[in-house]
Amino acid sequence: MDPLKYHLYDFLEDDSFRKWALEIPSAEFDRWQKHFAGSPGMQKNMLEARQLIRDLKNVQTLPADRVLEEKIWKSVQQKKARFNILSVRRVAASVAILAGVLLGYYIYTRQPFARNAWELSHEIVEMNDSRQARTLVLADGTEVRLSPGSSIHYGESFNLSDRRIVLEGEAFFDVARNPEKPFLVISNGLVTRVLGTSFTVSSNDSEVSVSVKTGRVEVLSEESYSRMKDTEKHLSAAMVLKPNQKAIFSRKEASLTRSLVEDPAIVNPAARPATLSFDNTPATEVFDRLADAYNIEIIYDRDMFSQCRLTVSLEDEQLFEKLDVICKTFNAEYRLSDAKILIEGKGCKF
Amino acid sequence: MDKDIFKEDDALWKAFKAGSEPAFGQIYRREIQALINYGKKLTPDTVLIQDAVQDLFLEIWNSRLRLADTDNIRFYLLRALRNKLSKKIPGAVTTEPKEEEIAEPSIEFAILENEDRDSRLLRLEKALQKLSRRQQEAINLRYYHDLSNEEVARIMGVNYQSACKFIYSGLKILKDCIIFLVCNFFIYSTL
Repeated sequence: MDPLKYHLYDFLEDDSFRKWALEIPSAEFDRWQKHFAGSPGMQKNMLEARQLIRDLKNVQTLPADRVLEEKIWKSVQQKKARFNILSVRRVAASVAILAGVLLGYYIYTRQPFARNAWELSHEIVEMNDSRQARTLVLADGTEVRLSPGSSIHYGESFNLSDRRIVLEGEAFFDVARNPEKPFLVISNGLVTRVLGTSFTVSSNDSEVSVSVKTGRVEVLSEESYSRMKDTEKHLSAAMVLKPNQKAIFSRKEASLTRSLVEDPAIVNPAARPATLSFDNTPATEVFDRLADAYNIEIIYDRDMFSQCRLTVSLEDEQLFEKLDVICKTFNAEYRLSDAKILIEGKGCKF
Repeated sequence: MDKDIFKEDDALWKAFKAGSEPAFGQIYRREIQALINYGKKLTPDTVLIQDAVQDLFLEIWNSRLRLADTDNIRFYLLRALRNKLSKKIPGAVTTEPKEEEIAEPSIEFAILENEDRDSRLLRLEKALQKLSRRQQEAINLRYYHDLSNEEVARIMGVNYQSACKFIYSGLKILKDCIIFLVCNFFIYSTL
């Protein structure tokens, strides 16, 4: 290949050369300037490349279309004023969405908080009308995984003075930690208050449940919350939930019940899979290791079960499956009470 | 006209994502002509361009909280616009590489009377029209919108080598055409 031609394309390809040719400031600008002045042999190619770069810029420049610019800007401003993406060409679809929005708004305003304590100015609505969970990140860094058919609303001032959002349906929250501004989820009569943690809120007409994955979560009815003075809001008559715990709020009875999540996770970082592998292990130790790994209270009669021993590896099963196996071996039964596991049986006699 | 409050793309984009109206306005004013220009390269249908650009800005506003960070807003928007247009006009904006689309230099050029700036540009413009659509698009992204080869490849949805090939073969044709014309011109003028 002709080396002079090679140099020409080389120049054309070089990003910093292109900036020099177009007189755009860059870190390399002076280098090219010196190079140009100091290498007469290169000048022909450099000039040719520079000319072509400038010409290509000029020739492809269309007259600025200010009319179109204004037209698009106006319609963007009008349409973004509230709610979502309505394309000019999707009028039919937009009518359907609007109907959905109106219905949502109706349901929303029917609830007591909408008009008083929780009135959100210039609210932003995020909804998930797809069939898959939709993940969004709020301005404070909190991640929200919105289940299909669910939506969240929050004010434009979210994260400025406080962090509060209204949920309809179900969502998993991984809340960015900020002790100054507690994160509040208001859902169908229940207020969930956290500083930084991860949890799921799920609500339907009759009940709301809050399942905790990590951290500490407080829940209380919206009614109690709105009765409290601001200064008391950190004290609270709230129910405090730990990881693997779940609160169920019944709207009808306005009652809160504590329970365990469906599939508790091993939360103790020190727990190794081997901790749940048992080899002729006494029952007391089995229960202690389980309680420790899942950070759950297990209540049983130590004397009664002192003779029981277990040999089995339970590394992969869910907690409740593990309990099934253990109880079968020990000829016992378990039940849940207030997020505690009660083991009942006659023990093992040989 | 909005004043440019944010100098760096990174900061501008972050402010926009946090819901700043001035940042949104600044992005619009700064990028709109580039987007219209690129749209016009892809389709002559102005209504379609208007529609797509409007959708694009509404969508980035409505979904700003979950947009990824970027340090090259123009690249981000051009790519999104191309995706939109290719959805609205399937086939008009292709991503399948077609070998036969790589044009060969043609010798049919008008011989121009004066070697001034305008005629030089006119010649270049005619030479550009001889390129395949994909070569034209790649050259447009590279030498009008000032993107890197990598970014050109990502916008056009082709691999890096293909993008380089479009650009290189395009430049080669332009170069050859221009030299050819210059030669022709000299021959003509010496007659």
